[in-house]
Amino acid sequence: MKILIIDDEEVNLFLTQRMLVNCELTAEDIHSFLTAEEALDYMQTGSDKDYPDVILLDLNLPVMNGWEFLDALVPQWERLREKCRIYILTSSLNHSDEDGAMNHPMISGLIHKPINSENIRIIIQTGNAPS
Amino acid sequence: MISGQEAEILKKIVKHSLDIICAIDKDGRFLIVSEACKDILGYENEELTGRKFIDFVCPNDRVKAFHFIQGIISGFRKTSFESCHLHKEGEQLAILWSAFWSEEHEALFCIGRDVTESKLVNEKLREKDELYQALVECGADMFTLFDESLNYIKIGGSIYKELGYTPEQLIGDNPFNFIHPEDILLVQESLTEGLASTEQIRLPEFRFKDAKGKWRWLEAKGINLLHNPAVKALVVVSRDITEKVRSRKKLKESEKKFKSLFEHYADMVLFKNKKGVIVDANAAALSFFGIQKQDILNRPFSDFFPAEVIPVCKQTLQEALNGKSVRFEIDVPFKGKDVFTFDVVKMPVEVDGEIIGAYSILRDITEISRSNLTIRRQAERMNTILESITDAFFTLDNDWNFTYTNREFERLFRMGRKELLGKNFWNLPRGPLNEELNKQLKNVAEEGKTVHFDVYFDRMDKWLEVKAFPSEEGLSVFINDITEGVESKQELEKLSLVVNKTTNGVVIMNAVGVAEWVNEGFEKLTGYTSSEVKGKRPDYLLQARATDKASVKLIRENRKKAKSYTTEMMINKKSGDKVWLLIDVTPVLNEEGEITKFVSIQTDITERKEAEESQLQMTNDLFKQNKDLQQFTYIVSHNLRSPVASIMGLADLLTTTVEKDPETFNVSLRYLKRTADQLDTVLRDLNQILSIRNKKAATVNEKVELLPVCQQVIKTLEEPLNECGGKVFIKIEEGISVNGNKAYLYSIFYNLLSNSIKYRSPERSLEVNIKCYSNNDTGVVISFSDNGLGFDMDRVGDNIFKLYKRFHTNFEGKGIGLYLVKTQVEAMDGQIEVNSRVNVGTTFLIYLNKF
Repeated sequence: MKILIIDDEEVNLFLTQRMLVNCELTAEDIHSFLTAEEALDYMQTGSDKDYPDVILLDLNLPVMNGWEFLDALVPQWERLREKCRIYILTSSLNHSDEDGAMNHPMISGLIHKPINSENIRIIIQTGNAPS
Repeated sequence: MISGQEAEILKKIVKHSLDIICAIDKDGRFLIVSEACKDILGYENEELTGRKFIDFVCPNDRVKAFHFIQGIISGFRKTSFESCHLHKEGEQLAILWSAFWSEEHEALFCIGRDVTESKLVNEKLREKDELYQALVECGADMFTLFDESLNYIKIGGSIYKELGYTPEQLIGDNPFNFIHPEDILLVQESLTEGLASTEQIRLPEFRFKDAKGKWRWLEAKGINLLHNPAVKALVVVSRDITEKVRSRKKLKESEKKFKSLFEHYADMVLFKNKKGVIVDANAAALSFFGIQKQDILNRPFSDFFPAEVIPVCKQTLQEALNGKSVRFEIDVPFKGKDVFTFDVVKMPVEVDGEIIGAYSILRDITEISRSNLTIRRQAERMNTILESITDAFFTLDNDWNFTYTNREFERLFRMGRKELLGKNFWNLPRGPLNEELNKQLKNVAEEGKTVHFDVYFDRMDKWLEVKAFPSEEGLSVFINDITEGVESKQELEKLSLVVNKTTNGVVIMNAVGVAEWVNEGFEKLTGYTSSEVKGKRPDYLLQARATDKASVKLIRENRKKAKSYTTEMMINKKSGDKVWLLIDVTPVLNEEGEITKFVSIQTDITERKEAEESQLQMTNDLFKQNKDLQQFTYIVSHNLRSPVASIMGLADLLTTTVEKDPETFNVSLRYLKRTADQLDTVLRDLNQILSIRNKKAATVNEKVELLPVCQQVIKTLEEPLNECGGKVFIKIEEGISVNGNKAYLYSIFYNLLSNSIKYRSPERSLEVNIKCYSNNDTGVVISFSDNGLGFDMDRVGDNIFKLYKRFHTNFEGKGIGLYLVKTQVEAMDGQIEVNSRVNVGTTFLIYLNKF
């Protein structure tokens, strides 16, 4: 299972990676990005087989934030949606963020930081289950 | 002694003498008688001789004859006498005797001549003379005889009777002394002419002074008998014709008068004969028809009048010819002229009992009849007007009797016209109309002045407005029911009281907004007196301006539509103070829907407005606080929660991985420390921000000189500046200082310069320019610009100043610096603007107050 993590805080990337590894995911399948631009570049330049199964997206990002990243993905979404599920991983307790995430057609779910093993287990299970 | 021959001759003479020659003795007996006695007395000589003379004298004459003879015999000188004798045949004879007595012969010698014939002639002549004398004396003519010098020699006839002169007064005098000087010449001329001929002289009429000195008119005829020796005189018969002359003159005068009257009569006069032919026409008639006299005379009148009127004219003429005067009016439509109206009189003219024609007098009364018509029409119109006026109306004559009442009066007072006309005002059948009215009308009549008053009629419960006009004819009185008016006036007075006493301002303006009236409230509200406002536009005077565009539009549209509107405006009082007014403007329209006035009512809403403003301020503050609160919520949910979440995650990781992965443990621990620091920084930032906000009012009022602050910042950041080779150029006006807080200004410069260093361009060495200059009287502008990376204004915009917004990746940044700068600038009542271009640089402009 291939997972993309987008977060501007190094500490968060480190934490998420560690938690995923702890949950038996291989470190090679985890790609981390400090900015949305870099992640978008990865998504747009790579081939379809490079598409991740899961994207863990922080919303509060400098320059291009999480919502803007999602907007930028819209053109490829038709090809992407079969394979890729996007989860919002945020430290925000703001309800408007939560409501926005739940109603967004591209978002599969919202996870409050810090991410725990239960969260990861749901992500993996959902990913394995036929959609 | 006589010779024989002589005696013979004498004998013969005696024998053949035609006269009787005889001798008579002293006893009166014939001695000798000549043969002539036979021819004269019819007796033979023998029959006479011896017989007494006296016996042959007529018995009547015998005494006279006897005495005469005796007288001669006795020696009386008288020798001639006449006596009457009887012819033998009985005829009486007159014989004139001449005798003488001869003493010698004692005989009376007598010669007797038969004078019967001549005596008879004389007698006749005498008789005739007497007749003439009587005729002359008794007749009217005066007889005068003049000698060749034209002096009176004899006068007779009726001179005394007529002229009062006795013959003695005139004889020897000259008639020219009595003739009127003006007539002398004429008389003399005629006389001179007459004397030259033998014909009868006819003298002109002349004036002669009578004995009393009066002039008498005489006419005279004369015969020149100067050459007749028996007469030797100019015989003149004259007659007094004074009366005749006078009456002739009178006649002439009256004729003249009549003619003049006829000619100059202002009206047309035509004289027509029995056949209707015009025989005479006066000047007025000629002038009317515009023709000469000869063109109208002897023509039938029908030639001059239109056919329509001929029958009437003929008929009336006939009536006049029948001896009856006719008078009538007739309209005559002359061709090509207006219709004339004539007043015609036709009169018969009678001469010697026979009507010979008729006079027609035509008076042109066109104008009169027209003006009569006009007067009648005007009277009718006047009546209509008087009837139609809505006022009740009546007139009184000088004796206070009703002469007119109109319908409205009858309606108002419920009195019939018949009931009033001719009735006296002071003695009305149903009592006086109203005491006040009576009193006023009495005054009008006495003073002759027009009055105008309102009076209340209890009887009808009505207020009446009365106008009374005196005139020569009496009084004209107009009465108008103003009950409603008075009531509404009273209402109006109350309203006016309210309007005047209300605390609201009330202004009445004309159609162009010029004030005509203001109430006390307005004066109190604005400080301007009524006289200061009248004639001016209150909006100009008060510098009233609608503050927002919507109000201006509303006002404009409503004025156009003549609708009322309400708006709020701030105005300047006379004192300069500002007052907020709620202004309610209502247009007043006339019947055509045009605006004639505006009524504006102002209410002082300053308090409310101030309350509103402070409320608005409060709302703004609240809004800001709320925004801040939201911001803090955001900060709490993101910036505080984020490190907290990290710490929770790391703690979790540490507890699970500590034994089997020392590497992860160490990294985690390091992250934990960093995150804790980060959390601490956020808390400190928050504290700083909160402290700026809370201290705001107290700390911004100091004088801060900009240059030292700026230099201090540069010195603090000297090391990083030197490291990157950056340069700062300062251009600050000397002595310029702002009203603010020194620490804030230090923080502002520090943050901006730090940002410039942090976001400098790697392609060029950093240059920072700080300029400071006066903006206007009260302001200072600080311009801070660098040549760094810049940012995209379209994408970032105002978010640059937001808390924890970061626009550059790969750089260490908390996203609080510019938020602090803005907060501090605003705390000092200033403003900050930013302008930036990617890869060119960024410029901040800060506006502060001058100290």
